[in-house]
Amino acid sequence: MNNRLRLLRAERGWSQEELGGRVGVSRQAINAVETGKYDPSLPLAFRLARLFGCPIEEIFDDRK
Amino acid sequence: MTGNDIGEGTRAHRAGNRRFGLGMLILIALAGAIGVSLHLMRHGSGPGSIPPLGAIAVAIGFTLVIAVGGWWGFRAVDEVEQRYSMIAATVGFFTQLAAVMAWTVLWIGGVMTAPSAFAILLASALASVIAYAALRIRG
Repeated sequence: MNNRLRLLRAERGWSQEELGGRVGVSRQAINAVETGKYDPSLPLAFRLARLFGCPIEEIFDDRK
Repeated sequence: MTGNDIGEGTRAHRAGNRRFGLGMLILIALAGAIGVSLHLMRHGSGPGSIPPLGAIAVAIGFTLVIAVGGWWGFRAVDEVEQRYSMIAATVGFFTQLAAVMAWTVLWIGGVMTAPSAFAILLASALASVIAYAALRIRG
């Protein structure tokens, strides 16, 4: 699944470790999601959407 | 905040890593203490080399450490790590299943000696470790 996580994170100047700590997962988990190697669970996707203040569909796109 | 600053997320992440590391140290210390107790109680080798009550205590101790430690460890890690652990455990389980069946048939056919529980356990653990490492390297 494609996502804009890296872009959103970069806009805020956060490291993967910083973002991971804010949503309760490891730096490795953020890296796996950003590179498309792991699709997050719904609870994690909601936490990310809430943190970035946008709908889940603006972060993740399963159509491409 | 720049990428080099330590924000609330980084602090939380590092605190979580410290908690996990401490928990692992406690588990290793407990397992080590049980192992040392077993060594101190043992006289010789084979059945009867450990007092029955000591054997029961060590068996309960190992079971508790593995059960409680496994439960705690699984809850302490995030969902990606849980997924990797589940896949690795499944690979280990199927390796064990295949090894027991194949070795037993070969034993019945007179091709091999009787199955060794320790060798099968080692093979399944090795398969789990390889699967886990492959998942971590891949992503």
